[in-house]
Amino acid sequence: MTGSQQPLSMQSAYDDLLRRTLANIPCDLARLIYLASTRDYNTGTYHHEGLSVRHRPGQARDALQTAHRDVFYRLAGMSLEQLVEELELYVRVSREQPTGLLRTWQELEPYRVAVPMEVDPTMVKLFLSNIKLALEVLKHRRLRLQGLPSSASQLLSLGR
Amino acid sequence: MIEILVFAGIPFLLLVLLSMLGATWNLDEDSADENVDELKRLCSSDAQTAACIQRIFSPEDRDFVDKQGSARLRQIYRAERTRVALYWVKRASSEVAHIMREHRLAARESSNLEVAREIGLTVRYAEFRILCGMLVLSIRLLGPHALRDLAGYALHVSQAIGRVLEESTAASRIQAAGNLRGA
Repeated sequence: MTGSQQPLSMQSAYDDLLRRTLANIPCDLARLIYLASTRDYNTGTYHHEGLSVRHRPGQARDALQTAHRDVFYRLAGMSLEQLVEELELYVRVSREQPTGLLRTWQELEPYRVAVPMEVDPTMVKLFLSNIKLALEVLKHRRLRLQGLPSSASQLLSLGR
Repeated sequence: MIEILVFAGIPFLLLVLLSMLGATWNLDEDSADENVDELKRLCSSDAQTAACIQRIFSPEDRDFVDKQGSARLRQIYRAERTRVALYWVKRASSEVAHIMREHRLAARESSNLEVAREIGLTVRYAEFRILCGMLVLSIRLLGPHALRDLAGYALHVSQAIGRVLEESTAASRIQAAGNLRGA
């Protein structure tokens, strides 16, 4: 569901969230991680301090939940090539060491907790699988830049 | 006659067997043990889900992976996409099976049962199970893009037949013209 299909009461909170917060985040993957971070791990409810002050708490919560789903649907619908570009951009803007970030994402799979609730399970499977593949593609490209074969990644992980 | 029956019977038996096994055949690696009701609620057949299914079976991602030039990547891609495709078939199959079970229970208590409609429904359900079985088989044997590949191959063959027919028509015309001149 997109923001334009929301009830008017929630629409202003949604627009506010897009304009003030999400527009300043450079890519959808970063937006997904950010929106997931506003969700309580135990209750699954969303909370954003600024948004709750400007709007009713219920409206703010619904706006966050809708925005989270919208961003997820956009990412899940991307081609693998687009997702690799998205991940590349995310790595760049994170200012972390790319090798370390890719390794952490492959081992801990933190993107799993970034999935919103109540979305189609097949979409979730496809998204998680595509992220896994995008990580492999990026790792392969990095190894190729270093002049190593793709199979070296397996040997490197054994050596850790 | 016996040979014809045997040749016609083998595919039929295969289809019956597949439909009995359904999409649950050898799918242990991704057992969807979620509550079926929950799945039914979650899985609305909206545009996003349709786009998702298209993405699973589309060869666009496979072409992208091929361009990377890594056999290992290709292997991982094929395994991942096969897993997702099989998961979708199994989910779709279990959802419809659940709906059919509920319908059967309701039909038992119904006083004005339409027999023709029920038979039609049963036939459609059998058709669906067979399709699921065939999908599982083709995904497992040929990969998730097999159906699209088969369609592409059929088109290729039909074009080749067209070319051959065109060439043979042209050749017969030339031959006929030569015969006329000779006469």
